[in-house]
Amino acid sequence: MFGVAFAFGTAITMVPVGIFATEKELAQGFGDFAYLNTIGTITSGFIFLVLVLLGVLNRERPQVHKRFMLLATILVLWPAWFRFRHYFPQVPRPDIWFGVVLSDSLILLAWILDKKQNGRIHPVLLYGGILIIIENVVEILLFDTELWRETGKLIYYYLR
Amino acid sequence: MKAASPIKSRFSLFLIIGLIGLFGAFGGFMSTFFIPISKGVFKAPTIIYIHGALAFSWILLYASQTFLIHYKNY
Repeated sequence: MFGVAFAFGTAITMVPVGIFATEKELAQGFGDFAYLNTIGTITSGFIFLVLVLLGVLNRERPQVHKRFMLLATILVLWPAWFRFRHYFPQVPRPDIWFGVVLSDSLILLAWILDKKQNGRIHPVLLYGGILIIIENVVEILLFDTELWRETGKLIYYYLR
Repeated sequence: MKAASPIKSRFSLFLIIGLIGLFGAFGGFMSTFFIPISKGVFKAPTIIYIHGALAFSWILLYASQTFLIHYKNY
């Protein structure tokens, strides 16, 4: 009950947080670069909510339920791992090393532990984890492309 | 041939990820949120605090639930 409220609250408030971050960067003179984060904010919020809802719908199947909730938690931790770049400013491409490698290493760790502790990687963890990794990698590949910039602008002006 | 049996661990994968998540959440936001707040230099709209509180509540709830389930104390 509390969990669902926290999840909906977290996902819904991602929208004004994303708008605030974009406006802050626009004010700092980042130009069109400021719009790039809006897509990531929206997709993360959406995927997080979908994972939580799938977890809730599968609450009578504990092995499925707890793995959806695990993936949702790993997803919501992304901004925290990305902030580790402030401790290591010498690391190049923080978007890759902290935004993808560090944050997604939790998925790899979960796969290893699931295999070790339960004898196999549960399909929810395997395919859900692969989807999250693909989403993160696609975001990195499209980042700062014309398509991403224009989509980010469109989302920003639509939500504002 | 008999399949390899899973290894019983002292800590479940859910508890391990929950604890690492707590460390990541507090560690990641320490220098950009918690320390500036403690010094009174962090300024942001109310919605940022609400979002932060909700997201941290989720992580805390996840970690505490996995802890209680692991130790069968629920």
